[in-house]
Amino acid sequence: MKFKKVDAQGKYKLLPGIFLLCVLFSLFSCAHWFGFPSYYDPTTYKNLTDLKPEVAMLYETFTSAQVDSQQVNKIRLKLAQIYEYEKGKGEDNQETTQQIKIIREMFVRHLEDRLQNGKWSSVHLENVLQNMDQAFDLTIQTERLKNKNE
Amino acid sequence: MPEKWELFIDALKDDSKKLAKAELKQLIKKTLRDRDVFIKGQGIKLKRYLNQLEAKQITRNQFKSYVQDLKAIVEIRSLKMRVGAKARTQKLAMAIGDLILDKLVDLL
Repeated sequence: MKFKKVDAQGKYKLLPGIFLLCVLFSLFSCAHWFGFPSYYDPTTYKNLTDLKPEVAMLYETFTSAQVDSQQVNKIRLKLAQIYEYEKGKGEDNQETTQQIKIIREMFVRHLEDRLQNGKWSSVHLENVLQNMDQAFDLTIQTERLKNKNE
Repeated sequence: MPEKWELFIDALKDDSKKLAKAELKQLIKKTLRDRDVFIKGQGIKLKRYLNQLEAKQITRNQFKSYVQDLKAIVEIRSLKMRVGAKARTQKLAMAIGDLILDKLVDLL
């Protein structure tokens, strides 16, 4: 950045630069206090888009008498792995980490409901599926809002 | 004419007066009128759950679980909005750095 010619006319040339520096200072102050989000991560996007239909398929089996405990454990493990992956990205990724935490809590609550209260009715399945789908969709959309590290 | 879900709320026995029925009905109606598709959608779901509860298609515990789901979804949405705002600021900071500080200011 060159600041040159501070004469009667030239001093006005500095004003846009000073203004920009103020804007930049404000932006980076915001970044310091609130932090910029982590960059878009295709692994996160894939993890979430892969897991969403798996959870939906598992829930569809909850209308039958048997619970596929192997599939339940598989999804619990995947959710735990995704949570650790997101948490490992640090403070900049706190929102996505929190979103995954909320999805995990929803899954645990739904699972406990199935194990304690027996098979689901079609109305109950439709309601729970709609909410779980929306939770995943919002988290997937959040990842897509992030800037690419180019 | 009041809808099914409104009549259901009115008919709830509440001796201890814990539930502000009018306030609850107002909240649901306000949500249903909201311009934000997401908020309106949550109101539509809540209305449907009340109708299903009235028709005994769902249990009290299932209703409670759906409301917990709605709370969770609203939290997830709020986190999404926060990321959106931060990402826009980040984009602006990057644009200022790349275009203005590196290129334009040299020309001033």
